[in-house]
Amino acid sequence: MRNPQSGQITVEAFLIVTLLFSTVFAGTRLIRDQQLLSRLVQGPWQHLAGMIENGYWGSPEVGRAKHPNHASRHGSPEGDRP
Amino acid sequence: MSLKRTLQNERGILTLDFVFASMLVFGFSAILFSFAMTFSIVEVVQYISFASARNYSLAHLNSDKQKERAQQKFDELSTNPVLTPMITNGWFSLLPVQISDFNDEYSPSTDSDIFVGVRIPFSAPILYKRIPLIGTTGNSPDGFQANINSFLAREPTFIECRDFIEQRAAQLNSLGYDFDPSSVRIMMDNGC
Repeated sequence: MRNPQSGQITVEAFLIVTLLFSTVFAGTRLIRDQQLLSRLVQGPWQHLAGMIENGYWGSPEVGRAKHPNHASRHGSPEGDRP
Repeated sequence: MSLKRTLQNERGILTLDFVFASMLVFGFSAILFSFAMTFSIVEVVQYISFASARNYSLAHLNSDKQKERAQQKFDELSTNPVLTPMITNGWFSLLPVQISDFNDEYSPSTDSDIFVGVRIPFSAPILYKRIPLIGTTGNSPDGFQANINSFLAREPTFIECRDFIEQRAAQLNSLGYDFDPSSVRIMMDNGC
């Protein structure tokens, strides 16, 4: 008489491996398509470049108007005029 | 091997786990290392720009001489044997230094033209990495650029001072006072 459970483990293992690989590949494809790693590194770099260039957290183009050299260093014992 | 023992057999799962985990750990460690190196080199280049701007700011015979002194300082520091390996191995790169007046690039609302100094275009291709399965850290190695600036302004040169004083003397002479213009002697001190 044949064993009715013969080969069941193989079938289940095949299904599990298929499911596992499908999930992994779907996940990595999602990460690549959404450019999550690029957004994690190159996204903040724009702010870092602004800080390096202008001393302001923002893109270099935006930060130029916020450069500390724009700050008024005028001082007077009588205070600024209203 | 019985069915029960087959289901309990976990040999190899640790290797598989290690492969995936080590790939991610090494990938993110490389990114953190790259950022640490980038910040260190940015600090060094920031000092180079500051030292060059300081040489540019000091008075000299004319503006070309001031630029020449700044360029000399930049060349001296950027070719230092400690720094050279870092900017020639492909991790970082410095484009030719710009020594100029950058006021036009900044907000015109400022009433003080102090955006004069040195700019060093800096690039960090080290931050561009391709990690297996999850992609790249940027669009291209050229995507990580920044300008490193030092704006220390510039003192007037000897020729600019002389021209200014001669122009002022000519205007005083043109006021019509009763004296011989040829008797006027211009005496320059150490500044304008």
